[in-house]
Amino acid sequence: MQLKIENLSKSFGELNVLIDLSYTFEKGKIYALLGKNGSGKTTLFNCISEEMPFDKGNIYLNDEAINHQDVGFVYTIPMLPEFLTGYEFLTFFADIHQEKGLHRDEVNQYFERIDFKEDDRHRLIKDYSTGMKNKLQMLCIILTKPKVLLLDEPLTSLDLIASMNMKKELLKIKDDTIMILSTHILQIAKDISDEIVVLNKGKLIDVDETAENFEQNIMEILQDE
Amino acid sequence: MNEILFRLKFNSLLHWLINSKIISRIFRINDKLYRDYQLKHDLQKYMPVFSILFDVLKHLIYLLIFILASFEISEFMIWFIFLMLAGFSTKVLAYDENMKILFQSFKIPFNDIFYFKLKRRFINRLTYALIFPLGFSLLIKSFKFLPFMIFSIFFFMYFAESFTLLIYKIKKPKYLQYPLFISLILICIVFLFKQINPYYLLIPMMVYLVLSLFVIYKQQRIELFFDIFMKNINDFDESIKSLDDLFTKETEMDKNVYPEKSLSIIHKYKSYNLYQYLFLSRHKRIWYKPLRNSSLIQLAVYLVFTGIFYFDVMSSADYQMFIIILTSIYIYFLYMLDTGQRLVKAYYRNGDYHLLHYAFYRRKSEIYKQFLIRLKDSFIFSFVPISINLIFSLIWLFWLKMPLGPTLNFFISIVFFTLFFNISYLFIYYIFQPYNYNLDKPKFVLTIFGIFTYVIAYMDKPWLSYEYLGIIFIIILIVYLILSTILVYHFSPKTFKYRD
Repeated sequence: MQLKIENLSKSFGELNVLIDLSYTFEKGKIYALLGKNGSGKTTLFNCISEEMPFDKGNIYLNDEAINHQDVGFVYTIPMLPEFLTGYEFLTFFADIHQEKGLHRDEVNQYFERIDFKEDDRHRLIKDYSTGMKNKLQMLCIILTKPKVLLLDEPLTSLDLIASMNMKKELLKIKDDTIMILSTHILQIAKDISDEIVVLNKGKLIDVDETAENFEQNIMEILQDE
Repeated sequence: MNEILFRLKFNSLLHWLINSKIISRIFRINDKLYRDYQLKHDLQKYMPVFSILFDVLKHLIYLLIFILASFEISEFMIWFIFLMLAGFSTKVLAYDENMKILFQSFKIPFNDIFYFKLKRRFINRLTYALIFPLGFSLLIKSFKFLPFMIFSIFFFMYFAESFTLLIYKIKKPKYLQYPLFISLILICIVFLFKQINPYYLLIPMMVYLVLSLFVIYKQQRIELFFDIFMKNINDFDESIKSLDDLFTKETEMDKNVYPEKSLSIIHKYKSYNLYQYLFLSRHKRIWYKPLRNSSLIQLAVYLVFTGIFYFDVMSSADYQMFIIILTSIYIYFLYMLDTGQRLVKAYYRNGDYHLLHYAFYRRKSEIYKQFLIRLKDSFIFSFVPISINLIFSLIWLFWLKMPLGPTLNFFISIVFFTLFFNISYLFIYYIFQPYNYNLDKPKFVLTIFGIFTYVIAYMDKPWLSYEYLGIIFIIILIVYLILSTILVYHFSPKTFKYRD
């Protein structure tokens, strides 16, 4: 399974964010997407998930135009209905995704995967910390096993344990999905990813993680204005 | 300071022009202009001229309006209105976003800002004095009020600034401001109707001038200008915050929520029915309280009308009039209650905005499934008022022997409008999704719909006497329902999207 991006361009007024960007992502690999603030990482994710129309180019999943239903998107700011408890939301989510093998009777097991305390499951989401919300959001997306998984700064707000657990969960589904993770933190990129790509001047550039002066290379790419 | 002010104004104008798609396309205005520093530099030289020209243009428009008005109202009345307008002029220290930026972001000393604005205000008043009173006097060829009017312009400018200083230390200035304001209007009205020479007004003006100058300089109150400036900034920020709160508060979930009861609900409901049940049970203040209160009021009003029908012997013409009044009250009440819209806003802000970020929630089948559940609930909300209406219509018809035609028309009108107000916002929501997350920038379509419902609520209701009103309304409602549901089914996957 391949996610192929061909000549993708996206501008906001006079600002060209993505310029004839072409790249192929493959199943079974975790890609870390690095880039400066405002380099267009979220824009690229929005284009892939069809949440934002692009000006030019094509995005294919297995040689067919991508469908937003194939994409799971974990946002930096967790998106959850705050009037529900975590348990209610996950039950509702399991009901909707029965065809993907989720079952409402297994909700407690799902929570255990992310180390969610029993009491917390039955509290309103509005009273959760950002880290807890992030865990819940990521769990939901991971459970649906999307063909393409986009993670926008997902691990930054998690504590050490949660971050480790989440990494394990991501690694579990890695073989069946194309996973792209955007981050500012080089260490996260190195720890979890198989490939590192840098988004700079509207294009994606491969960086050899095994190279001796790999960090230096990234800095040079990002500073090269 | 001039440069900063010019660029702030230029950039905000440019931003507005670029966002206005029609203007930006016609004049080919784009982001590049932001970077055209030479243009900004060149135009900045003319900023004082622009400002004065803008003032002149504004005052010329006033003059034109008053010239047109002079055909209808007396010259004396125009001078009176002009005097009032001069009195309502803004103050130098009134809140101004640009002044706040100059002070807080660019750290420009307060004195520089104050004298700059004072100078600007003086020029504004000068152009006003030259164009309006002088222009109007020239046109009507009468100069008897001209010196008084010019003096009053500058007096009111001084009054606005000095009065703020005089009352700053008073704890509740409104107790002084309001009586003074009312007295001023009363004096002007007396002068107008008694045809008293306005030059007599110069006496209290001069007294105020001398006394206020004495107090201000003796108590060194001029130093308070800075405190007033800061207070105005803080007051404005607070009022903006409370306005924002107002938008979001109307959709807040209930304070008393009992999540511990949720396991039994989970066993009872599934999927979107579970979601909708939990949503409604935790937002009762949005739908249940208005429904309960409005039903009680409806019951009370109907009982009063039943009493009137029972004790009064009425002609059919009187009954028809009662029915029209009652229908008008009911429709107006529904319009004011606005439950349909508040509920839809809460759907969006507290749930749909978040869930629309998930791919599954954007599926055509899922949107439609949930729409039907919400439509069903909108019908359920209409059940109580329609039932009350049915019971009383039957009482009036069979017990009080009221005429069939008007009673039937009344019953059907109430059913129609109850359903119309409850379901229309839901249709608009799914077909246009007019809200952003903060609910403060609704799409234009919502304004148009608001005007439309306002017209329905306020207009005369001659249709209440139509013989076939019942059939017409039933047909309209069925067509409206079918058409809207088809539109939602086909278009909502493209239109039902989140907006930040």
